[in-house]
Amino acid sequence: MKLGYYPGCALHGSSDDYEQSLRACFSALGVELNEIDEWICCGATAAHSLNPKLSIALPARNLALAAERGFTEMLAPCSMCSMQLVKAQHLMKKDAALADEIAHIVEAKPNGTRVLNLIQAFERVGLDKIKAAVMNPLQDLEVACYYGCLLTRPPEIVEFDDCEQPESMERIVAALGAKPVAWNYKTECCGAGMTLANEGTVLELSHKILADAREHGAKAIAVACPMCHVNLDMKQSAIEAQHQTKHEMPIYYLSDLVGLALGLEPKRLGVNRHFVERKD
Amino acid sequence: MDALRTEAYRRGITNEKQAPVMLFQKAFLDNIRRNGRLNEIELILQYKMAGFAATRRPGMLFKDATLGPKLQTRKKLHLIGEKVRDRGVVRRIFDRCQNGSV
Repeated sequence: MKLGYYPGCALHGSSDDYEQSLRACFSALGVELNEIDEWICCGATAAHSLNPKLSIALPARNLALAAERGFTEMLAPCSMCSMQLVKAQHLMKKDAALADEIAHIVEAKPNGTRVLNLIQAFERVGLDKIKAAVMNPLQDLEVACYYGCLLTRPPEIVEFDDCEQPESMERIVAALGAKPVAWNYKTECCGAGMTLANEGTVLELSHKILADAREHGAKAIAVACPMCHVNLDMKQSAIEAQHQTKHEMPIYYLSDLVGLALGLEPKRLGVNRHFVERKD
Repeated sequence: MDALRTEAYRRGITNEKQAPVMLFQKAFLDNIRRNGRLNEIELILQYKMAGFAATRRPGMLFKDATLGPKLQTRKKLHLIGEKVRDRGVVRRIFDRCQNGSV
């Protein structure tokens, strides 16, 4: 299987452990990822907040580049990027005049490339196929599956899973032999891209997520977003200091867990590059 | 809420507590306009300089400095950021969206 691949800026920056993980994982599953040449930033929260037209145009340029190269499906593993891409597509589909204007602005015509988040890409491979490829079941690992804000919302735009009580990641984790836990914060916000500019909010929100996961028996949290990983993993020691507690909660990209279950070495997946290590 | 935020930005109205967020987002877009992709180190420096110029608080410059070595140990610090080859098209997209001219 071949997929177009839109890494987004984080996966080519300080979250390149996420790219390392998913490349190793999809390669093991026989999926070829083809990076879209000349992709540009999706504009993220900044364009969304400051210039609505730009927040459609930047993702639209990438959709057009993917369509020009003939990709009908494209993986966007950052939940901000995937939401922005799907949102641009949704708005242009609803409004033909806007679609024409955006095509003129971006000097290319976006077409119907289907954007997949990481969970959807694994579903595309097939849970049965993943289950059959498991060499090293993650027995007894209790995992809190964390979706954050953007994987399931806005629901009318992303049209993915249940926006309040999603279960798609739990199905993948269960296929790996791990035990997904029931908990309360799976779709709460971690503070996302406010890590630098509004650290207080990130430390508060992410603390609640870590505490709730721990209270419900999780030994690890699975994420499918680079920003969620930064806030829960890299900022975990600052959260612990601020709240005078110990979470000691390892945070895995979903692709880490799939890769580990497939028998890949943690180092190959980049798990050794995370801030919080698994104790046992 | 999005519409109100965009309008507040257009009119230059910023709550003092949220001023750093505005500085960060402006620095972010400026970075994308120049490179096509985000250069994290450049963004952090630009944001901190803008924050220091606005607040005159030296703490702004040195906050998070201890993270650098930790990121370096994990090979997460990329001193040279990526740029797309065709930065002209990125600038034209920004100009058309920012000036309203199509």
